[in-house]
Amino acid sequence: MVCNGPCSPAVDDESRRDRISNLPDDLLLRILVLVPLVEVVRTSVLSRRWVHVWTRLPMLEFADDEASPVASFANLVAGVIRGYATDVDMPDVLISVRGCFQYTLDEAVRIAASAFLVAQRATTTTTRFGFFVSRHAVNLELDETEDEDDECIPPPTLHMPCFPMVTEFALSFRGVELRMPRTGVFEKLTKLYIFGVQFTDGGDGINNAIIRQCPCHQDLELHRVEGIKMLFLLSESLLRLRLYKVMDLERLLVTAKKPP
Amino acid sequence: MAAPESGDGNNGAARMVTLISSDNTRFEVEAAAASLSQTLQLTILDGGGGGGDGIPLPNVDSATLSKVLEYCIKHAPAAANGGAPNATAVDRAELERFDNEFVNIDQSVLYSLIMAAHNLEIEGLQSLVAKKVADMIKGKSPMEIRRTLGFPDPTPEEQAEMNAHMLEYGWAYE
Repeated sequence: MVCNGPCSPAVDDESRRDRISNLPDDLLLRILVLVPLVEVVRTSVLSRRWVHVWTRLPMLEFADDEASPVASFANLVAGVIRGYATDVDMPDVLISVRGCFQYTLDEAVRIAASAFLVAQRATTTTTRFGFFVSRHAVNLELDETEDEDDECIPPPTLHMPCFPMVTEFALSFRGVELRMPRTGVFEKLTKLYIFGVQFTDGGDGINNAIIRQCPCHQDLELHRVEGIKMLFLLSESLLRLRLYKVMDLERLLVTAKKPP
Repeated sequence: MAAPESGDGNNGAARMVTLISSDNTRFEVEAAAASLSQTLQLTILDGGGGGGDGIPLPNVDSATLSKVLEYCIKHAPAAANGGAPNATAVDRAELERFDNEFVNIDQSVLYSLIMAAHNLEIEGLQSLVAKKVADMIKGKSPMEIRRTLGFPDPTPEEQAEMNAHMLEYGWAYE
């Protein structure tokens, strides 16, 4: 970025001189939440004053079809989450992959894996974490018409890490196999929403998570999820269970405490 | 003092309050307009600001306060209607026109308004000025933002820092 003469012809004009940089951080952030995320990150080169402002954004909303595209959406997601201030709670992290037919399933899985880096933040709370892949972003229609292809090419696997500090987690991603973490505790998780994924463990991962890993989980929703044969939900805290089109389900057992 | 046309719970007459700017100018304004400020609303509900007392605003100068009150007076009727659910399209269009015109101002005035809207907690004005600045930033390259906001030219040292930073943050620029 080179600045030659014509960049700031009116700097001497008092009425046009920068005052916005003098605003306190919280007021700058109130402005920046209205600007697309990539552009906010790019404000970090405006001046020394702006280097760290974006790292405390009260909301991270990633969308791959934003007006200012980047070469790698996965790198952007990873970079932002890596660069975000480590002493601030991230209230909402919402990641939407919507660009039409732009990704293979494997690429979308890599983006999800970058996004899941947020899980490694064990010191600050993330209120809501959502990862949404539109069915048009990865070309699922082709797969569906060719049933034989489905048989011979196994879906890519997405490993869900443990999110110790996330309170609400939503994942909407058709055409991948989801593996739940076997260890770790979702200390703060109250809501879990999963749409469109496949399981190959018959439901063990979900059962294990609810019974052993989610001490304050209250709300479970599974929607159009494949490969769950048995749900055995034993929970002291569970208040709400919603199952839509869980077509492979053969047995359902719920033992929950009566709400007060 | 003119009586309002319909009863609005104020026993007929619109109650007035006095606000005093940091440079000691007194502004008399309808309580309903001043109450758009969450900060002032409590004082006014407690009966403050009436008569010769006045509410001092040590953080807001008279030029800014006059501008803030212009906004409050324009928006008070709609606010009294609970966000004006039954406002006509014409009324809404008129408010929108007013808002657009209102923020068509020098950056120094804009800055003072942002600070005042924050200090006085005037929700609608806070959103309006935030959106104005966001619109000045949106869709621009950093260089264009610097020009729009009127940054001084970077020193060679700053420029070198920025270039290094852009390399480090390549994922945001490629």
